[in-house]
Amino acid sequence: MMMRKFMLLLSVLGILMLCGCGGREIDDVAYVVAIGIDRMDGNYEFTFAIGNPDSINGEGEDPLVFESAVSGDIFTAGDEISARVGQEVNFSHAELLVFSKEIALGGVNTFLDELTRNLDQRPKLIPAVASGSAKETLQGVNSQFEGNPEKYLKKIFEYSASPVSTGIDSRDFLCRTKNINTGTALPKITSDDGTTATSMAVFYGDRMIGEFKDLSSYKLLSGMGEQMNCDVNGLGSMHLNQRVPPNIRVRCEDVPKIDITVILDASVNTRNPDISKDDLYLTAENVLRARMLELLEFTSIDAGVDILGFERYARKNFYTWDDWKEYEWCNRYGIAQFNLEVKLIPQKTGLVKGES
Amino acid sequence: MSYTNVRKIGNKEAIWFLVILFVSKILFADINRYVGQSGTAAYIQTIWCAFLAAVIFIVTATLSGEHDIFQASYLALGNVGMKIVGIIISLMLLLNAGVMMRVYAEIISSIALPDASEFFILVALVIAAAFAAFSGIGTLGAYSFAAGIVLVATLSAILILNIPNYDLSNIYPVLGNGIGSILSGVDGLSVYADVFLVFLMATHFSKGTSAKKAGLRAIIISGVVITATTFLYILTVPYPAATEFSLPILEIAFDVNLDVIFQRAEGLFLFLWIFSGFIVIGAYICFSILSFERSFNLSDRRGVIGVFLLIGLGVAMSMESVSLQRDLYAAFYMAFTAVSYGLPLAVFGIRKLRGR
Repeated sequence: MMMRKFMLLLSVLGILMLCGCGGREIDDVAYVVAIGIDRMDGNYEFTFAIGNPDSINGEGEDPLVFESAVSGDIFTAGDEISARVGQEVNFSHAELLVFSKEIALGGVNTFLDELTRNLDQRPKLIPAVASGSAKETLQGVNSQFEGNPEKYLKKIFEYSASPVSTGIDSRDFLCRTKNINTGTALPKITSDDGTTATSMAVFYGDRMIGEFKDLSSYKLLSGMGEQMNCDVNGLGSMHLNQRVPPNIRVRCEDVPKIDITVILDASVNTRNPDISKDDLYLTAENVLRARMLELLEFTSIDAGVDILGFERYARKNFYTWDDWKEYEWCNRYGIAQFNLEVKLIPQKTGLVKGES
Repeated sequence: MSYTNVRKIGNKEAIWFLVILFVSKILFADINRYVGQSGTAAYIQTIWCAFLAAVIFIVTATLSGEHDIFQASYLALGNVGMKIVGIIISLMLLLNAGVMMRVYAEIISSIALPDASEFFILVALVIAAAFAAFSGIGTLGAYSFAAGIVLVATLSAILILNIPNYDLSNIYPVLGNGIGSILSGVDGLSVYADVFLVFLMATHFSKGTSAKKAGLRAIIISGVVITATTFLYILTVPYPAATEFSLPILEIAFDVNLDVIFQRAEGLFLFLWIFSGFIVIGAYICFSILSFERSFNLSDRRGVIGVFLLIGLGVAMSMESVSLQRDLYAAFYMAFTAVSYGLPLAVFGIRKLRGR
């Protein structure tokens, strides 16, 4: 009995020895929080935004240090930078992956593939496209109100409620590149301020094929739980809240017919006295519908790529993959007909009734 | 120390012992194989395979009567026949133990201990196997009762933590690659191949324990766990990209991200991996020795433990890399499956015929 107790105690004490940093201290590791990729003389220039532990949540120096290396792949560049800074570059805390527009147009599968293969790197990396150079875009990241740059990037790009997020992470992107029936929308961010998504980059497979300005319509149609304030043609403004995903039904006839109902909670922020509350709601519905239809027609007619993933609903009409492949959704999406309905549900709470 | 003078195994212990052996297979690439064959209907294939395994097992168990495979082979084929059957089983399990040592060591080395020598990981596994071999099947069974529940609970924890990432539309088209692919995916039976071990255990069963009941219940419990895991993997990673990830459960663990509360579940996968590794390798070594002991009527199994462990380690070290020898491993796995189902069926069948 004594022996058993001794063994138990030994096992418990043994557990204490299992913690640690794998033979290296935390200040010997350079944690990359964002990666930028540019084309450089037939090769690639990789820029790593590395967290500066001395200034994270402190004052003074910039919480990010930028290091660049020219190489054929991300990890070889990481080795070069490790040798240069004397710390081991680690990608496990990376949040953001920025491709320059040139790289995005040429195809990004190589990078997605290598990041997915690397077990240090989690599949939650957010891919984005820079309007110009990825290096300059990363250097524009300025977390004024957040001392921890990783947390800042997470807030800006990862949370679906963030206005610049398209809700796609690196593994979602990789999975979509393998599916010929769907495309991907990534945030396209400006160079001078690395946090502002000015538009979204549209991908088919791993190549960027176009861009579209209106990110909020994408978020509403994707059901990302958008909360936004919407100007109604100068007649007033409304606060909109998407609490339920859109109701989508796809009928796979010769011409695919896609029925979409977007339901939003709405409350009036401001209202021009010349318009009644009911008319303001009606106008807002029409404005939102027109904006969303513009996006739908862009994806269908202009780009010919189903970035909103309607194919997920279309597949329900088929029993086997062979039947589904035979239908050739990727070709038929270009002629799809949309029946879009936007319903605003007036919210009755608030201090001002304001009925006229 | 003869096999008649050891701790006995009860029903629950036998069931959970088998459940560990079955469920540990899906930590490898088996789910991936189901998805490759049946696409989005992989979970239907797992149900089909569990059903087939149960049918084959019931037939074999019914033919076995109250005999274990050694008694049956002695009655059916005589002393020489029994020795040949024993050597086949012993060698097959020993080879499998060696291969498994290599597979477990490689994954532990790649995911958790990249800087550690694989040899030391192999030695740790050999020590665990030695412990199992010296303790005997009764102790292994008692340990498995607790370990099996911990294994299923940990797997469930990974699956529950990933709930926010499940997308139900991933299961369409519901019949995946078609009914033909589902029905022809019988190589999925390999997951339950270890069920033949109950026919080696009969003399270790305590009073009231039934090989038939234990085996059948283990197949049903494992069938439910494997089907649920496969289903949830499909909901996590859409087809066809789902076929490309070599360790599906690790992919689910990678995907877990509950905001700031719980951001990484790879540790749980690693725990599952190491935990099951010790039991699986220990079980193969233990039953390999048991088979040798019974065939040659040894009075003390401890004399051969060292030799068996050395041979197992030799097999593991002779494999240059599991990735390089993937085809050889696949061929061996299929041969192991064929012998596991075929040999007991043949031995019990012949005994039954001769008994008439």
